Amino acid sequence: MDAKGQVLERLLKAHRAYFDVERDHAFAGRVFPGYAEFHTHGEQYVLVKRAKLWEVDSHQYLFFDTVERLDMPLLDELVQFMQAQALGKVKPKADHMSSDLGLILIADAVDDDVAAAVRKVRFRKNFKFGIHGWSDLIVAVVDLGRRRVVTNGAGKDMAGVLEANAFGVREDDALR
Amino acid sequence: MNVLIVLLITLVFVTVGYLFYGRWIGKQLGIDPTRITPAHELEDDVDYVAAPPYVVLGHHFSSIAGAGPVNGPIQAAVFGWVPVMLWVLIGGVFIGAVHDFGALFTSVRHKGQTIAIVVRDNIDNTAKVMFALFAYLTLVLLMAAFISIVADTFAVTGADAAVDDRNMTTAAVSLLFIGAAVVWGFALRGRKVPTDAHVLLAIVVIIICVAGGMLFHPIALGSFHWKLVLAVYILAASLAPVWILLQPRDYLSSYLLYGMMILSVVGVVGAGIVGAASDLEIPAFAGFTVSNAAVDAAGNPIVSESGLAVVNKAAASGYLFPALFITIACGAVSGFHSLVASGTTSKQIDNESHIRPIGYGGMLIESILAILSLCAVGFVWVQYQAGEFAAPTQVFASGLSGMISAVVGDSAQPITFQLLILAVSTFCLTTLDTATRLARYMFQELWVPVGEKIVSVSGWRRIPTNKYVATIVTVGLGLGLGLSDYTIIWPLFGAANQLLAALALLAVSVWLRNAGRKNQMFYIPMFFMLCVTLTSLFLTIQQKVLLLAGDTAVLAAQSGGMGGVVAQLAFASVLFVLAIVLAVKGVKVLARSKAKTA
Repeated sequence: MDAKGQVLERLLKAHRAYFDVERDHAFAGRVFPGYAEFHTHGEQYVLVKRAKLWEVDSHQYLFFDTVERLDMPLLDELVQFMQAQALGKVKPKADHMSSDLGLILIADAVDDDVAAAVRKVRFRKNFKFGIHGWSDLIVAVVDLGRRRVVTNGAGKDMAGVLEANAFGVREDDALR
Repeated sequence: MNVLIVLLITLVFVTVGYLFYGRWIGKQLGIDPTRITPAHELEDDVDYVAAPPYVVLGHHFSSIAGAGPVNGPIQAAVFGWVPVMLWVLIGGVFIGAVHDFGALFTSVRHKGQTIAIVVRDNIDNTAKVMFALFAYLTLVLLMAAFISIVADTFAVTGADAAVDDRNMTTAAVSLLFIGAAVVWGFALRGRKVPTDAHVLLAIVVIIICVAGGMLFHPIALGSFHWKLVLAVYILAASLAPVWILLQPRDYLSSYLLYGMMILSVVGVVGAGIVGAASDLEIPAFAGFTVSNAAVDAAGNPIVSESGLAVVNKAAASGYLFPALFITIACGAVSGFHSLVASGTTSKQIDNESHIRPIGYGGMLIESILAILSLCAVGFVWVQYQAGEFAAPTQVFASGLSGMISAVVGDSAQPITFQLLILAVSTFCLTTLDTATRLARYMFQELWVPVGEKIVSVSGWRRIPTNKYVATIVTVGLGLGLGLSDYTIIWPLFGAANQLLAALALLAVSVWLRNAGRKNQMFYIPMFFMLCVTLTSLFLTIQQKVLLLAGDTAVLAAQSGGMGGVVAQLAFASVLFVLAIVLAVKGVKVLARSKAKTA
């Protein structure tokens, strides 16, 4: 197994604790070597569980892919896919609060201009003006060549976890 | 009397009560620190989760405290500071805290079940259904009272330009705050903002709302129109997803709560030290019957330009018994607390030894807040008597802001007033929102056959169990009653709330008797509260019947008109009958189990 495969294994293993992890996930004409879903349900009630004052559902859908060299055209294509096709994963309805769509790319090499482009990726979709919740796009690139993780604004929280699992550093060190 | 001495007496009394009477009650109940609690026995990391006592106390106190400890003592101050202080302290230590302690302990010993289930297990299922109906009516009355109080705080009457300007400012600040909460939710959702920046931003937003409202307040509506606006607001707020308004509003209002607590302490202690509040101007005792007619400093009735007697809308009226004990609920005893104690608090108790500080102690903290409210009235007694305030929330904010300005300078008064009244109004709106959601659920449940769930009903039952229909009906009922003046609704709400307390005490007594334990210490509070509330309801029914049988012109002049009087009569009658039936059922069980024990 090459370096990309080993990192993918480690990331999927790390996510297995809380996520439903799937391998070779086919979706909208693409096959991703790794895929993970996480669902949470929150509610407030009084006296008995049936007496709900409110409830909310939140989700995360993470698509993992490995590439030898990540350049701008490939990044654009994948981001386009996430915005147009992967958005189909989100099922907005009453009580749906948020769904994060995550694209995690593990690359042996990353072109110089890609990191800046990743940081600039910004996508937010509000459903029915936010009444049926919203969806954010997270983009994270694990750059094996430079041993670093680059994310967009929405994915900042993930950077430490990815770095810790990809390169074996402690999460708090990675965040420093 | 100096407010510092009043505070000192209060602190000493509640501390002694907690240390001695609270401990004695605990012994009689049979608190057992070695016994496993439901939080451990039924631990599921969802509902049943043991938490440190200070965390559970924080949750419990924030749930039981609302605008109640502020409104009641201020309205009742018209009886004099001695009866108010005596009822808050004696009622708090010997009835309210015992009630909360007993309800929490009983729920813990019933696997964290609600007091309604305790009623079912120890009385019967009919009693449980009636208890639920009773709780629904109490919530509707609470909505009516708070709609009316908030509307009066915002309303323009045309009687006094300065007061109208102040009310318009309050309305503008509150509207800006609600708008800011919605924008906050949209702007910051999903963004990673550092905690320090979050705190700073929240404080800046609150300052902008207060400053913006003070500079620009164009909306001039009367009480009636504000009530309609508020009904639309709670309709939207209770139906909207929580991330749109509820979550960001509650987050921002937590800063208002901290600010209010700091301002209260600075105001009362500071004014006491500098001598600005060296004497509570309230008379010690005003008599066994009081009127809410506004009077000047010399005690002469104030008459408006139209020749009508001015009414002090922030004051109660009637006979000391039962009005004093009905008007002051949350600060002395409140049935609503039993719902909270047996709902979520009991599932988080780590050790039975924590029940006394949380149940008994939590209630006594409310009593202290009630005494602070009394101190606030004392500072603005002349204006209060003259009927210059449309609602108790204004009295609270005026009194405390006056005390603060006595310490730091007059220029601080308008700003601290708006901050304090924004805090209290926000708590009222939060309570309205939660009460509407809960009452909606109770209304839906009324139509669900035994064994079925709301989502599975079919046929015509789908209409009343529909979320939107249930909300509209509930808000409609609350608004309908709220169109009457809150001074008329508050005694009804107080009576319902206090009856809930009497019934909770009855349930605890029955269970203790069934369990072969001593329960006599609950008898006096229970019978006292039953007498107080049934007397109050009876007087209300009598008054409404006489009105309906009397002159139609007098009837038409009543707040809310004939419809309002009929609605109040209907509510009071239903509550009276429900209370009698439940009390008779409970006493029968009590007598039966007594005979068995004998």
